[in-house]
Amino acid sequence: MVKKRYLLLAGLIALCGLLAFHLFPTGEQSRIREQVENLRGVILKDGHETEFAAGIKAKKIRRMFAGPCRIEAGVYGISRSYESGEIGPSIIAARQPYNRIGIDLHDLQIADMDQDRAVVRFTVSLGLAPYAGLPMNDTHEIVCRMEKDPDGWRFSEIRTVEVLEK
Amino acid sequence: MASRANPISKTNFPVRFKTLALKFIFPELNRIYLLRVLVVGLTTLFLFRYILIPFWISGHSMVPTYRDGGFNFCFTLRYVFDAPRPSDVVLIRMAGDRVMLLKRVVATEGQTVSFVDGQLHVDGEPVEEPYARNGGFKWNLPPRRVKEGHVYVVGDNRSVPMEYHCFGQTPIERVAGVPLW
Repeated sequence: MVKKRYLLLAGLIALCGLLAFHLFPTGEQSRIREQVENLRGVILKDGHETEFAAGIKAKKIRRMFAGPCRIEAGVYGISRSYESGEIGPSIIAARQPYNRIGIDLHDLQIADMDQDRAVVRFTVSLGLAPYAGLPMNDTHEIVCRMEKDPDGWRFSEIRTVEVLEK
Repeated sequence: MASRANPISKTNFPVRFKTLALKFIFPELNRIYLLRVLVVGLTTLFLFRYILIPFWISGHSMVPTYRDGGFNFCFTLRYVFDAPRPSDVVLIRMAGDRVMLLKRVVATEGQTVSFVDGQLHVDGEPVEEPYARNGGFKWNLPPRRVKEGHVYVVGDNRSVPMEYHCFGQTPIERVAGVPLW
């Protein structure tokens, strides 16, 4: 009877450990998730953004990307490589036509990971309110390749996945 | 005549009912009860996480069949022994199942799909679509063959320009299930 209790306790502890491992990501995984969340934060636009704030965001974006970085977004007609110095201003310029940009991330998975490379997949829901024209919503599946350097994880490739091929 | 030895009597029924009700609302926290809670909890978690996934509808691409703001469940076991067929409404997985696309299957692998002046054609023949909402936009799409292992899906709301409607062919593996109603 005593042995059964110890076995049950050991089983419960093991189950809790497994759940914790699954629910709470390890150090590098949480850093990757944080970097993706940071990217979301710099792309967001709330309608009160000043040029000074946009300039700061451009600097932040530059630090988040490895140079060169490839962006493939066929649905928006983008398919090219960017040097680290041009990615920040390019993203800020792409945001210009919009007064507000809402962006939500879902189902973020780290599909493949080793010491200094990772592949991250997630769904992004965009709410775009242009200065001229009607607001629009868009949803895309995104795959990112990330590389680790002494300063942390940086994006080396971001591409949209064509879920429905016309 | 009522007595303590015989509690099941008409005069003791309200007392017995009250005792049972209190026991139901404030149960005794014994092993059986805790085990019951655990089993019900795990079963519910499994059922609504993997078999009947709840979802809210956001968007107008399936109007009038499914309206923006509607609620439903995705039944994931529908295609365990079967494959999606034309006119089935399906949910299509993206990176995961927290956000899915709700569309209708119009063609399966090997078939040819095209739109001519807003009319859907499959294998060169016009298809009757009583569920579709047309609004004066003439969709024109050259014929294209549905690849092996794919299905072609379109929303029911055709009252927008074709460029603003998300539709096309997708691998069957991405089909997560069907709406429960």
